Amino acid sequence: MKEVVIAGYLRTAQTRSRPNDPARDWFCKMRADELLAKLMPEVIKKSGVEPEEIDDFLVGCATGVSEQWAYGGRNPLFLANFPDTIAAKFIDQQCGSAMAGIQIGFMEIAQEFADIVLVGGMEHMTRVPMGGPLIDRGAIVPNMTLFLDPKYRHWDMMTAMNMGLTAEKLFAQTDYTKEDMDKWGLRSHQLAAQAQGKGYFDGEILPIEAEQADGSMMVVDKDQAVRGDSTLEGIASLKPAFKKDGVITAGISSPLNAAATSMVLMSKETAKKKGIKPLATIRSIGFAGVDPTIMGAGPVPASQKALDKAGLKASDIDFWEINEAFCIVALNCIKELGLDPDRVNVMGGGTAIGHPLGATGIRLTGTLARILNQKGGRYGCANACVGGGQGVATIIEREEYDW
Amino acid sequence: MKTDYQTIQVEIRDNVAVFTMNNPPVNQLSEHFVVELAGAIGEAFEDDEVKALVLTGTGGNFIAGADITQIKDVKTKDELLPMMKENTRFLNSIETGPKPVVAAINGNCLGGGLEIAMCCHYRAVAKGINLGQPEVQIGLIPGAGGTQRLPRLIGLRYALEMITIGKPIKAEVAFQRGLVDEVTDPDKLVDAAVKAAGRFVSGELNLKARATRNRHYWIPSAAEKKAMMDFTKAMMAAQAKGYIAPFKAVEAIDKGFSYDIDADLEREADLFADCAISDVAKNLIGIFLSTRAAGRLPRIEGLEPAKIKKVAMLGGGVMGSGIVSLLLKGGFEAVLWDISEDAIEKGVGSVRKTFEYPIKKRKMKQADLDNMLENQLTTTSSLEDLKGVDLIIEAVLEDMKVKQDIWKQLEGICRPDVIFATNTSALPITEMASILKDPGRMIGLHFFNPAHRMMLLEIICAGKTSDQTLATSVSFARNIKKIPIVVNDGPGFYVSRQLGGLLGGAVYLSADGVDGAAIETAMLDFGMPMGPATLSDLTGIDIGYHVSKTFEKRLGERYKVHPLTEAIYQTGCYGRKTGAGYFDYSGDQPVPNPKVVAVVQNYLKEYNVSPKQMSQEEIIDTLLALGINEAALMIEEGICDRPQDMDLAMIYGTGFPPYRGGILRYADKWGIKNVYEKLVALEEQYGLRFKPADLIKEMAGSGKTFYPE
Repeated sequence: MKEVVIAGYLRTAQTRSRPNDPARDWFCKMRADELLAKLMPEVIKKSGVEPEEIDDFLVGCATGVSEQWAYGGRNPLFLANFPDTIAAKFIDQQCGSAMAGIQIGFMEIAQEFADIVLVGGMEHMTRVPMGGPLIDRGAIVPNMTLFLDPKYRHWDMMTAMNMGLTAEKLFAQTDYTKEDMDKWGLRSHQLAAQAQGKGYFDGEILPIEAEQADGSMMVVDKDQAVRGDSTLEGIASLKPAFKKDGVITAGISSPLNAAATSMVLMSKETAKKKGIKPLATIRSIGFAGVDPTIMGAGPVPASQKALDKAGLKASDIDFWEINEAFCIVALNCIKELGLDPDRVNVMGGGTAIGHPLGATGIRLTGTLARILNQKGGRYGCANACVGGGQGVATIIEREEYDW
Repeated sequence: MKTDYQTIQVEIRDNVAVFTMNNPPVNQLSEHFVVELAGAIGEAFEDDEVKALVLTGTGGNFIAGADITQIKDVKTKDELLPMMKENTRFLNSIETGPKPVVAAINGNCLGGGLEIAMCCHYRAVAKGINLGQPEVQIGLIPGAGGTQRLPRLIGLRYALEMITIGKPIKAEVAFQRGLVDEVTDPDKLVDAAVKAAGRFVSGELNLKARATRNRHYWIPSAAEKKAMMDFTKAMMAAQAKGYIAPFKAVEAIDKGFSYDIDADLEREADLFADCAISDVAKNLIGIFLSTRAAGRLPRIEGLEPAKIKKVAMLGGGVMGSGIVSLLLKGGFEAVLWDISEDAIEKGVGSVRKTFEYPIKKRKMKQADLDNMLENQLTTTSSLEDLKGVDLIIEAVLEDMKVKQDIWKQLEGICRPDVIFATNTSALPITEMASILKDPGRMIGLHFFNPAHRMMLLEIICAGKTSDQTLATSVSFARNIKKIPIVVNDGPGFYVSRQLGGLLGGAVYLSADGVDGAAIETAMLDFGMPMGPATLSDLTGIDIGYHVSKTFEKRLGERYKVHPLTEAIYQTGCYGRKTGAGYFDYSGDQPVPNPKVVAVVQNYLKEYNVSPKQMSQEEIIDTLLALGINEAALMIEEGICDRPQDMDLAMIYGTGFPPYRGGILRYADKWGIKNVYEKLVALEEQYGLRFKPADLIKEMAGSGKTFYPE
């Protein structure tokens, strides 16, 4: 088995999506595939490879319908005018899609079926809103029997398909309080705002000139949903977003976002031969299924599996990037895996930075690799919960690449 | 709520107010109706008993659009914009109202009708109904949200197509594209709509989400929009030259179709007003109205046309087979007569050919054609077999004696009320009829080639044609879907002589040293489908020459054939049919025929004329002045007297550019005084052919126009 490294990582800023008020999304006039196609030539340039050297292109996206249908991943290649020799796959593992792309690319290279793999993620939650609107248009048509036939009643699809309700259910089975979550949400915004202020994300965001709703042009280079001025009182005062007597509010959930992400993977051998300094080496991957009505628990078994495969303990991991689809997901992970909160989401999490579903996996892994480099850590683990009841995790190691 | 409306019948069913709109004749949006509709909707919104509304219509229409005769008279944008603003407010109030409104589309849903339907929250439609935004066809754009709501429902591509071309789509296609939500049998329509209304009440359907203005998913990215609009604009620059509305419609969508629909609607209204006050719109509306009124003559008012069921066609040549094709499609029984079995077989073969295209396009099946021929068509070479027919159309050899012989025989065979129609294009019909005991039964039905495609039917009254014969002929024309234009007998009737007048100036310009190519280009740029030389080559230079000779003989000195025309005729190059005429057609692309070029050169040398650069405007003015003069002469001679019919005939018969409204609307716009002065100058330069008609002189003096102001 070959060792696989992350040779480069680049993303767009994550704008804030508002399907009911599209004009406020800075990317309202760009499609997700256009965003991704802008990244592609830049990320390979940054990584030091030529388009012709890419063996496979893996596109993660959670909502591959309407304008996000990508012709099996070929359309972004066409939009970027890349060579037709590059194979492509469209990968849907819901919120784990882009991470699944990393994992599949990792396996392709490790098993020597490919040498250089370009991984992408894209999601535009303004232009292709999740859930209800797509169902109304017939773009998503879940099987009715899952909802109606008694033999499927135990799946409780009404909860399983409503992420907020799964978060309510996860919260209910922990000892955390509403205040714990509010504090975590505030921390997320504060850390992200600090990182933004210090220009930390500038190293991973490709500024993009985007036409605004009013026709003016704007260079979009900052995550739109980060709010440095958040207060605990402000967050605490928000109303439940998913059920009347619930606790989950918009302040402790990830916003809707539009973004694209990209990453170049290659064998360590090739990196060395080319004199490319990788960001990190991929050490292990994990994926697991859980009760779909408590999908937020997914990262725990997924991470445990990844740790076991690598022969590591949770305490060996220096930094964690846990996707804050909801703050309770990160808190639950901390509790169940016994983590030091100060080593989790140190640049802020999805509550502030955002969570463009299928693109998120690369953002988590890429940001984590950069954190290891900046803070001098060795091991890092990125994980995410997945709608439908799954978890995904990837463990990376920063090494001294002495070439 | 109040239920006693004059134009709306209100019925409450299961807490759903069903409005049946009835504003005869077509549920047009007249002022009184709109006031009642707005009032009734307002009341239903207020009434707690009413949870939802259903809008449906009576008769063949859901709602027809605005009254275009009103728009025709609008002079300034300021008159129009306040009205449009009010209308936008009314439509928005439906779309953003507190209760679901379901459209039950029972009939034609065009223009303003579709615009209202698109403000509803759900659209159910009866099978086979047409939906569309045909405004461009009369020089307008949708002005009540059509350019903004249609793309939001069906996407940019289909919306652009529907709005810039104006062709409606069927309910079934509309469903496929997402314009309507349900297609039902006509008798289940209102039930379906009431049921849909119930789904809003139960919460299954969301009022806000279904409002067209809240649907953003078809809004393209900036890059996509630019690509699509650049493509569309390039295509239209080539195809819609001379028109305004298609460009304004594209502008409305290009600048609009954004996340701010209210700004988009306001812009659309302004662009609509631009169109409404344009000459092109006035011209096209005029054509639309006169097309509707064509054939409605005072002379035949009140006469009951005879029922025509069985029609005989004499001669199965190009014209005959085209006419038989029309008869079959029109559901008539047809009898094809020709002189021999061979000729008949050829004729039936040609009839079959006219259906090749629809069969290839799968608009009909081969079996349908076979059935049609089997059931509707008989053939014979014996005139005796024509005993039972109601109408005879003749297109045999263009020879007075041959024709008269046939008519004479038929007079002895057919019932006295059977109409004898000749499709002659040159012979005097009055003379042809003179051998009949009852010349009142004879009329000219001048079809244009190809007969099954051209929309015009020139109906020629001979000296003694009876009113009854005319009334039945006009009704027959409508039944075979032709636009009937009635004129009196005279050389070339109206269309051929008018076209000859319009293009006849070309030879004078050539003889004056103007390059033939410049004349072709000028007429193409003016909007004619082809230039004079190209047209002559198509119809045959020899045919044109003989027609000119006839004019010279019958109409006198003014029509003396130009020596250059004589010389060109003498080359023996008669056009496409001989391989060369003005152009040589032996290569891939037509090139000027060296023989004709030489003839012209020699002529110029002989008369010591040097090549002349002439501006396009001057070329057009020369040709149009002569054309207008010809029209005036024909009015003087009593060939025709209705400017609206004359303009229609040129548009439908010769492809005169519709956006210019026709030759006489063009004359009025140019100014008769200017026409007169141009003619005076031209007469001085080129001679008698250009001598202003007395009518032109008189109109120039009195300030009168062809169309009443």
